[in-house]
Amino acid sequence: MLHWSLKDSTTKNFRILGRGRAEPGQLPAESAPAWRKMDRLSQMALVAAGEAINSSHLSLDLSAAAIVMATSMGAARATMHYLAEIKQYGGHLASALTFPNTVNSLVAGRISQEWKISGPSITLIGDLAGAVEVAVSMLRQKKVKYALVGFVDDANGLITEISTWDGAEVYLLAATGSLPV
Amino acid sequence: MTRRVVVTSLGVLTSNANNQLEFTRALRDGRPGISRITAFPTDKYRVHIGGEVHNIPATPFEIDRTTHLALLAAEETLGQTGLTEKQLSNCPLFFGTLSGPAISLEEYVLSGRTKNFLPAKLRLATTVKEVAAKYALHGKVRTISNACAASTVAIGLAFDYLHNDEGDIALAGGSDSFNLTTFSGFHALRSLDPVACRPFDKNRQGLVASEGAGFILLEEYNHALRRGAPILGEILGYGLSSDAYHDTSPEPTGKGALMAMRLALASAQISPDQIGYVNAHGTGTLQNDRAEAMAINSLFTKVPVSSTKSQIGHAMGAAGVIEAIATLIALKNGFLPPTINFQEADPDCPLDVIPNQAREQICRYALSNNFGFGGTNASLVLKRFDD
Repeated sequence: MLHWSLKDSTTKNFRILGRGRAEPGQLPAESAPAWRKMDRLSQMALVAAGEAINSSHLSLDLSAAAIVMATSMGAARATMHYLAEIKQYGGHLASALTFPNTVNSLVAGRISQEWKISGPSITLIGDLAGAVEVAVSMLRQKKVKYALVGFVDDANGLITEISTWDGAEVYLLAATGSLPV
Repeated sequence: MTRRVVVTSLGVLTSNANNQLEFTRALRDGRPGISRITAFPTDKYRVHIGGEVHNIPATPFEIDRTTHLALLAAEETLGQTGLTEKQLSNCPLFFGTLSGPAISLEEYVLSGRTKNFLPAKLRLATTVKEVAAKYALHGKVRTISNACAASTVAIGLAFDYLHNDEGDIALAGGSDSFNLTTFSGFHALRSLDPVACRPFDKNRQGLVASEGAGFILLEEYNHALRRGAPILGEILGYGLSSDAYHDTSPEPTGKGALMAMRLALASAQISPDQIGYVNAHGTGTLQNDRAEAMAINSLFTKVPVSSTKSQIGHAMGAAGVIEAIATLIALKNGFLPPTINFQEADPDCPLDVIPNQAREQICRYALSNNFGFGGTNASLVLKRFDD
């Protein structure tokens, strides 16, 4: 779906350098041990982001890149898991370890931590085309040279009436003229 | 040609005020909005205080409280714009929230699904859809969920929309309810102060969770002039950065916060010595206040700094817009709001915190900071409208 958004965007201002995808439960054996402790939403986003960066086959300085992630239900699974714990043990005994996973933007934060990216980070809800638009706008305005843009969801089956496509897809974009010669 | 972006209407709902006029008085008087929590029993918790919005109509069954608060703040904002339905029809909506319909999700999980439960309330984008539908806003809608910087980012994106000549008006804001999810989480992290919200005070113990909502109408300057709209202030620019450090703790030297402030000043094309006031993120946690103080002192020689959260608590995703509104009100009315509950200076936070009493002072430029989990940082540069 994101691919269509990118196709529809003007290609004058950016180039696609890399693309990564991940599906639920698809954590590569060589993944960092820290990833294994994370919730599935973060794991998928990290796998897809890593693949997007690696598939560019370029050695880029991403320290000031933008991260723009879209999600339709965000941290719903982690939040429901956390609330189930509260139901069982009481809110006064809520877990300090699972609470951070209820924050929708933690996924973008973890991407920034993993690749030491200090640029702008934006998490949009339910809006894939919007994420692309925001990233491309930052590239066009020359606020950043590179942007990781993608979406991630892990909420299918949680609520009968709300379905999502579970998985992650991330693209690495570059502003035209930003690539090393 | 650069397009100027001004603010021509606003609406706000906090734990100490139910509209703009009340908020102006409360800010000047340093009126606390923190009281004993009524939303749910807290007898088993170590902390019993929070900032709840009182004296508003009950939340209708069809919507979540976050949406309810947003609709009330939007009503105040849009009710005084003087714009016709036709003029508003293409208005985009940029909305920030931390946890969206948290109370509905709690109801769903903790009480079990009841016969009359509406699953649509659980969607994270439900609030923007309700606000847009009620006011027939048919422009683009965006929900931003950048933790506690969410509505600051929303204002930034709305600023870009006007600055880049995509339209002449944009509505930006945020909302979050007081909920068990967030309160219990910060309680578990031992980040709640059981006494009061005491940013930058030596004896501070953490934040005080609260709720609230706010919206501002951003407008292109000449568009506002042409229709004779009252100009409440100007937005000059914004900056965003990431700490790239930790899930919940800020980078201890304030590096990320400093970068967001620097980028905001660069975007506004002004220098640090022109800033006359900083509305700090100032949560009252040991780590945030120390890191933010370091960042502020790295950038400014001496600047008055205060935390609105000392009065109203931490309204999470709505904090950014509420504090931007506080800053606009302060600039317009020629006073600097105080940091209340301040008793003892912390040597780790050597700042002029405007302790306990508002200061009559006219400033032209101010900075408003918001930071969030995952190391997301946002700063806005605002200007008193004087030309």
